[in-house]
Amino acid sequence: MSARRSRLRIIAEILKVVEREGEANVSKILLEANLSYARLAKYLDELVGKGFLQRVTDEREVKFRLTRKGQEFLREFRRIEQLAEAFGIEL
Amino acid sequence: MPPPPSFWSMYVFPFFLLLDAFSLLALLLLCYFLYRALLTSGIRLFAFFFAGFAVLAAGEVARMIVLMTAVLSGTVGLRALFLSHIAGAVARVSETVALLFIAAGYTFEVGEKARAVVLPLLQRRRDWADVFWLTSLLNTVLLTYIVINAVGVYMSSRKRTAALPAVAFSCMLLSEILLVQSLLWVDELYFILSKAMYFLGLMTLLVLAIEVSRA
Repeated sequence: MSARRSRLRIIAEILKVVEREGEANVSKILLEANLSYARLAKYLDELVGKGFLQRVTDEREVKFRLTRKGQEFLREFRRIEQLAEAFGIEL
Repeated sequence: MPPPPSFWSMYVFPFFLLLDAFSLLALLLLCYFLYRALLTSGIRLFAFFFAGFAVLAAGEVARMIVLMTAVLSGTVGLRALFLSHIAGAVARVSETVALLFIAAGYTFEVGEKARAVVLPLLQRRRDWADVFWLTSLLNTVLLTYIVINAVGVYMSSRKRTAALPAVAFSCMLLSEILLVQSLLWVDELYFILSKAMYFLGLMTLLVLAIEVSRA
């Protein structure tokens, strides 16, 4: 059984999906981040509020794009991930 | 006319100072990344590792000051270097404190067992008359414990990043054992080997810091 994901890891996983896709819609993030719709919606609102994600709305759907701040956060997370791995700390 | 500078004061002492400077750089870099990780993640285990490496860095500064004093006071010879290292009581004590932090970090990671391992060691610190022997004993015990944990972390993940602390702490343990040997037998060769092993350990940490900065 895998350990419960931390909030930090969930945020990083959402941002990673958006980074990989360039622009990602809710369904895509939902599928890859493995979260319920209600929880994902909360996280997305928070990430947009903090300036990590930008909401892009066209005629058909709402998509999310990674901002510079989001990219910096992901870079920081990767460093933390490496340090955590080095010293055996669970993220 | 003042006597001409000796081989020791011209080459050996500055070389050791250079090694200490590199070691300090490695420790400070690692401290910086651990501090940032602590701020961003809020995971308290990073605080233990940060505190441990920060105190190690402070000890390194103390060692450099002692060495500088030996150089400036005109004390020469390998024996003087050897003695200056031992006389750096602040560095020795700080090293023990640093290792306590790191050991506690590993302990909390494995489980809440710190009291069982760390506190009995702390309670033995009454006799400060012989700082060197006490710190040597503690450092060897702590480093053995840290190495076991670091190797355990590597064995469970089998990742290169996790191998680096295991190698670094193993080098430090070997360095500590060689230092004790050098004092028991008053052998300067063991002292040099000990210093080299310690430097090798810190350089492994520098590699880790560089890898983290490039992530």
